[in-house]
Amino acid sequence: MKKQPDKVPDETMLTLWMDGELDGDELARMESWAQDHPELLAERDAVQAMSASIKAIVPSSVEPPYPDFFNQRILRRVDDETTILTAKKNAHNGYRPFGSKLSRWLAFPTAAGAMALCFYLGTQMDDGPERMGPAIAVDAKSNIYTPDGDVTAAMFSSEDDGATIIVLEGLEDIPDDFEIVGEPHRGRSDQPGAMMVNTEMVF
Amino acid sequence: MTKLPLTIAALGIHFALLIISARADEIGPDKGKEIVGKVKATLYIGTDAEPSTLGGNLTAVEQATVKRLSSIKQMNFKHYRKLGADFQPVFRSYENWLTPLKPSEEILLSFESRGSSAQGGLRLDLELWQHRRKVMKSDPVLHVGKPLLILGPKWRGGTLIIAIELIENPLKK
Repeated sequence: MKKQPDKVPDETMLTLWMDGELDGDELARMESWAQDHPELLAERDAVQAMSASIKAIVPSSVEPPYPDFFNQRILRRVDDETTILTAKKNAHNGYRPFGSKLSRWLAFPTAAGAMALCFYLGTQMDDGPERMGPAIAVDAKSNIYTPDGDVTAAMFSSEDDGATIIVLEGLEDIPDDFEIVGEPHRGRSDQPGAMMVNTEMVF
Repeated sequence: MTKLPLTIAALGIHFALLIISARADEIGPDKGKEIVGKVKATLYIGTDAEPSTLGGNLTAVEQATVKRLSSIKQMNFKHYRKLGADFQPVFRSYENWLTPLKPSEEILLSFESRGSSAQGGLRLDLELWQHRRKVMKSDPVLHVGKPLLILGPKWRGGTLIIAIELIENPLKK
C-alpha cells in the first residue's frame, strides 16, 4: 500500500516548528512531514542555531532607558505610519471619502478663521490694568535650615528692640591668615578652585 | 492647490506672532524687576581680645549699635569693629546679592522677596554663604528699624556678626 502524503502544514505551524515552539503530536506530525523536505530541516537547524547564538549574547529582556519616552515615540511612529498608509491607500483607490471632500471645502474657511482668531488674540494683548497684583501678604513663622549637618542654628527675637537673632554654631572658622577685608576673593589653599554652585531647583 | 489653506493659516499665525511680539514690547519693562525694598548688610566682628589682633584699620562701631549688640547674650563682646557694608535693592521676583566684604566674597548673602507680611514687614528668602558654600537658609520677616542679626563664623579670635536691615519698604501700607 502506498504511503499517504501528509497534509502540508500552514505557515504558522511551519514557523512555530522552526522556532522550536511545537511539542507533542504537532511536533511529531511536523517532524514526519519534514523528513521528505531536507531543505526545511536544514533551514530549521540554521534558525535554531542563530536563535541560540542571539540568546547567548543578548539578554532576554532589556528595559529601555526611558520607557515612557520610548513607548510614546513608538506609538507616535505607529500613528504616523498608519496615517501615511491610509493616505496612500485612498490615493491608490482613486476615490475620496465624503469627509475628505468636505474637509477640502472647509479648509479655506478654517484657515481664514484661524488667521482671524490669531489676529484677534494678538490685538487683545493690551496694556490693560496692572496684571501683576500687589505682593501677597504672607504670615507664617520663619524657618531656618542649615545644609551642613554639623552646623546648628537657633532663631529667636530680642525682647528689647524687636531684632531677630540667628545664632549659628559649628561653622568652619575663617583661617587667621586669610584677609577677608578689602581683598578680592581667592581660593584658600585647602580648597583650590572651589565653585559656588546652587543645586536647588528654581521654578 | 491643496497647500494653499495651510499657507494662509501659517501666514495668519506669523502675523499674529508679530503683533503679539510688538504688543509685548509696548507693555513695558519686566515687572519682576520692580524694587519692593532696600536692604543693608553690615558685617561686624566682636572680640574680647584687643582689637589690634584683628589687624588692619578696622572702623569703630557707633555706640547705639554697640549697645544693641552687647545687650544680646550671645553677641556680648568687649570690642566691636565694622568690617564692611553693602546696600542692595529687593526686586519683586528676582534674586539679588549682598557683598558686605566687597571685593572679597568670603561672606555673601543672597535674597529674594516673598512678599509683605501681615504686620507690614517684608519676608525674604535669605541664604548665607561662607567661602562660596551655602551654610544657612531662612525666610525671615524684616521690618524697618528691626534688624536681623546673625552670629556667624569665627576669625582671628573674634566672631563675625552679620546685621541685615530693611531700610526701605514701599510695600508697607
